[in-house]
Amino acid sequence: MSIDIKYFASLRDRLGRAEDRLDAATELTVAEVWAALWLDRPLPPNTLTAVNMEYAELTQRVRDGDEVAFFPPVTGG
Amino acid sequence: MIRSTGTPPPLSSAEQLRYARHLSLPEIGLDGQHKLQQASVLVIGAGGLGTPALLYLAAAGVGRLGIIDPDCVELSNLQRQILYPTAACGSAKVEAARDRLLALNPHLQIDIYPEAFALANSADLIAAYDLIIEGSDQFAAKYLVNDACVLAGKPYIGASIRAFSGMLAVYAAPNGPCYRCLFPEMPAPETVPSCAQAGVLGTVPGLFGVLQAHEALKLILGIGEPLIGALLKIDLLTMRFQRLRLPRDPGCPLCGESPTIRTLTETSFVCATPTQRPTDTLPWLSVAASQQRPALRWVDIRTTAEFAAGHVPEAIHAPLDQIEAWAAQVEPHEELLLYCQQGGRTVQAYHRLQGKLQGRVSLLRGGYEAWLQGVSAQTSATS
Repeated sequence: MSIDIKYFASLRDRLGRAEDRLDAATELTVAEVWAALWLDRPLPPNTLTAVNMEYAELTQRVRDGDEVAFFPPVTGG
Repeated sequence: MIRSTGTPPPLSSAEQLRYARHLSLPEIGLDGQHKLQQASVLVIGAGGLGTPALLYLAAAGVGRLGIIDPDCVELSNLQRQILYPTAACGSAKVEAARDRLLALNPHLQIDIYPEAFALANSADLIAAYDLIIEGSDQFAAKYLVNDACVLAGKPYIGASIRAFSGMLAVYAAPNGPCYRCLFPEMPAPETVPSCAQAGVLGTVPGLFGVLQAHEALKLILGIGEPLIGALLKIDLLTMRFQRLRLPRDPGCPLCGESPTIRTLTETSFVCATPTQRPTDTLPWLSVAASQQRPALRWVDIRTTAEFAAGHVPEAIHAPLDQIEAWAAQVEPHEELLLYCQQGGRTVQAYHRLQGKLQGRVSLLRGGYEAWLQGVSAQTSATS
């Protein structure tokens, strides 16, 4: 199962990349996708998560070919 | 949102000419122009987002505009805040904005508030307008606008930008989500990277400000599909526009089914420009005072790009993200003066260095821009 992951705004800067691809043997939730990629790094609080550009809870299941996105809040004006 | 009854009063001949391109659209026409004339919009923050929004709202003939902003126009604003001429530097933003907008469209009423949007004035201000445009660059203000609008039942158009991208949505509309549905709690200051001086290409806030005005006009006119329950995300380097579906969160602490936030509270945010926070107890030094102390070693904590673009002569470069490693090798007798662009990031650096260089670190009030202003004042005095 292959999942595309996208990071936005300051999260992209802090992680040092804009996207990832994860090949998983079993079905994962959004939270498990993060944990699989960033073992020792908890998901920052207040991060908006989306699956296929639709708002998703951390417990939502991710399917093969899905795109999971992580958005931090942005302040500039 | 404005309910007109019967036939709207006719427009003057000058107004018919001014709004001719609106009047010929079946979606607007005389009825729509009347709705715009009767509408009132409060723009919070007359900066990168607020100024282009104001220009279009005024041009469109929105009858009453409120502008709130405590700041004066600065030279570093003009790269993106296109409403202000160079000659307005040093004047209150709200006054310069009012003059410019009345010159654009004298048929309007412009209310100005040269103050910060804060707990004390928020409820009254929100109550006095049909619609709000949130163009603040501070999280504390963004959360306060959101909470005040939800509690008052007033929709607002929020946008946030950074570098080459941004996001936009209509919040607090009936059945739509609020900002806390996305981001329930205000981020802790240390999790927000260098908020004081994030760079931005001038057209980025320009586009988002225009989109905010555009959504406001749609809501007033009752046309199209406003961005309610959807978040528009635009990456302007790649020109990728994405619409994220965003339902209201039943568990939202503010607009959910069992809310825990029922009144407004003010949350201060450490990243406010320190020059506007005279009450803190950090070891600030003014540019003039720093120049009286030749033993001080000036330390530029900005990014490599910012340092390369210009810095104080003789200053050494120690970027904020490596400040701890750098501090470990500072000579024990050295007295240091940290500076960033405007002062905000030096607060973060100071907290990160606490315990390491106790009593030997000062912070330059107003940062590199204050130093530049001193230089430019000397140059114009001698030339």
